[in-house]
Amino acid sequence: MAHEVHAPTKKGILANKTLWLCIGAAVFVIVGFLIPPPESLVKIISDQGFADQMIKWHLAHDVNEAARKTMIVLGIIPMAVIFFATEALPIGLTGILMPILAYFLGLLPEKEVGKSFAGDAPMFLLGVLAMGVVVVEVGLHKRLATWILGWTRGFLVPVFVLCISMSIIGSFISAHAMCAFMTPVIMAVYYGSVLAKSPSGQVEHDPALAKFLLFALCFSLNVGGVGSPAAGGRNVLMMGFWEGYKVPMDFFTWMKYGFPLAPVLGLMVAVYMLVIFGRNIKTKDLTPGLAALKEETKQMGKMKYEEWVTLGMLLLILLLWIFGGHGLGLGGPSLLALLIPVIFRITPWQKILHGISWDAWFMYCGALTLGELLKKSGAAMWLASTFLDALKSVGIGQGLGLWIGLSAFSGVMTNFMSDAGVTALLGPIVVPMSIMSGHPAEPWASGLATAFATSFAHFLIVGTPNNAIVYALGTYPDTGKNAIEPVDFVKYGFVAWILSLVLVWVLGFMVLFPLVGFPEGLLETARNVLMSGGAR
Amino acid sequence: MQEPYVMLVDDEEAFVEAMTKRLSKRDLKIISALSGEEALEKLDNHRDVDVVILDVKMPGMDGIETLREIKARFPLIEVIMLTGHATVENAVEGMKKGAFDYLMKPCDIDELLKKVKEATEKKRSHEEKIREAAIRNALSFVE
Repeated sequence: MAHEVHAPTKKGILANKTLWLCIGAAVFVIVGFLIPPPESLVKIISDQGFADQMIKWHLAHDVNEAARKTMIVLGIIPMAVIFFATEALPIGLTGILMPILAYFLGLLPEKEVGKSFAGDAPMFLLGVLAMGVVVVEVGLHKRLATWILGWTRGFLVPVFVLCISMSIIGSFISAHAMCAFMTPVIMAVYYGSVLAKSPSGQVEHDPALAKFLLFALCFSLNVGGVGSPAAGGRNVLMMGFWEGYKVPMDFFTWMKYGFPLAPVLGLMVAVYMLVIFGRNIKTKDLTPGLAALKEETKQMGKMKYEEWVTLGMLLLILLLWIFGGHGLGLGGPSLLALLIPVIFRITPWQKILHGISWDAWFMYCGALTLGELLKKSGAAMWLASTFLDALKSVGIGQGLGLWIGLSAFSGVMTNFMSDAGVTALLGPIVVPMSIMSGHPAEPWASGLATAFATSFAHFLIVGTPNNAIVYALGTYPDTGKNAIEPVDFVKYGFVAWILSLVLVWVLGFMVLFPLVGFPEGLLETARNVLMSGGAR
Repeated sequence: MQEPYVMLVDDEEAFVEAMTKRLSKRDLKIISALSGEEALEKLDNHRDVDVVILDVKMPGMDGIETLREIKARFPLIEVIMLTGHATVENAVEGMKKGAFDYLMKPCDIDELLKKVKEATEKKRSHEEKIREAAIRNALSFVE
């Protein structure tokens, strides 16, 4: 049995963190301090008021110095990409580096630095992280799994139920914890099924079935990330960027665009897996393997007090997110996930503190600071206008073409680095770029296109923790050997990635976007903020 | 609880056959080995074994050496030593090296079953704790 989750460790040059630390720092210095600011950048920051704002804030004395500060901010981008991809610094520390640079290099006034590192989005994230801890502590995740699969029998029913339910669950609670729990469950179902079919004493493995079940689980949990802001910090980051342009999106509105996609994507995963593996699978009856799960359901007995309180808390928070109104924001209801478990004595405070991933939280806060740096320095506008000109030259500068291009790019990047890292780096550029494109659905449409695609990190094992989890924990119970090889992600994940993107393009952009629509005045409001330059 | 999966290791073939028959009737899943080396080879492909019932006195690789290897390579699998009167000290040494318990030969079958059940529960409880730790660890992953 695999005891720990380790993604295949970076080998050779990629493992040399000191080297990448130096490379990242060198790139930052070269871009930030040595390369002269382009003419177009100087023009933007002086015409759009960014230079004036920096002078007003005493961050620069003249336009040239302001342009240099903008170059420093631009230098942070490749350094952050290198640090996120190689983990030359722990991810949380890379996040903290953003306000550190802002303070020490005078990139924002001190009050703005503090403000950028906090706000509704980090509060929301803190609550979501705490919710994950509490659900695992009280064992509600086990109850969910037995409810979901315990009643099923046969082959097709459990498969479809697994894929669709996991994509829905992945929209609301920690997909990684669910993956870590479900992978051994799935392998137990697999083993029980092949054992029933094997001659006595001799297990005849069915590798196609093992891969089929593991990838079905993994990809379904991945695609659930589109369903709601609670699915992941990357979604919350995008909402934070919209808020910076005075066009915040509430929880339920995101669900209107994303949640219908989740079960359809789950269904797509199931069908794709059946097409790929169906012919090679020898064991086409999972009922014997599911019997053990049924037994566990019986042994669990009735729901305990802790489970009831946790379930009630989750439903309360969800209702407040949807119906609570703008006054509560997203952070207000989320923070109840820290208070309720302690008051109702279902999880001790220390367990919540220790269970929260502060690494993740610092990373998200740092990403918001980087977004603010890019916005207030004019770097985001310069990058946005540069990229938009390039996209317009190939005919995808607006609307559907832009959304497809952005989601494809974001979808590629997310396989190589953290989903939140992709959103952190692309969001501050995508938002102004989409505003400049002039489509009335902006900047929401492009932001959604970018964020949705970060849930499709299927084809590299390092793309998302879910991939590493199914690889590490997906072992045959008798031999301890891995049922999946890293190259299998490329073999089976690449087509799944394409299918996921195409489905979002067709169902999301061409059907849901027009069906749900976008509020009047969305673009104008955001454009006003953009055109006021650094003043806001 | 799902039936315990037990490996019986003893160089006396007749004893192994007889015990296998008796234990199978008591709802245990049994595999057997006639030597320490054979036991280790079989465990490599049967890592889901819960408990090994291991004779202390065997030619070649004796019980203590086999125990050491099992604990090194398959640390979660519990081992119950079976010993004759002359080798009680070895059994005690085995306990110090991580064996779950020991029984004197000839052993009472109900007593053996009781210890197998306890050892199985301990092994599965450890596995469950490791699974829970992996889940908690997954909460700390940055997406």
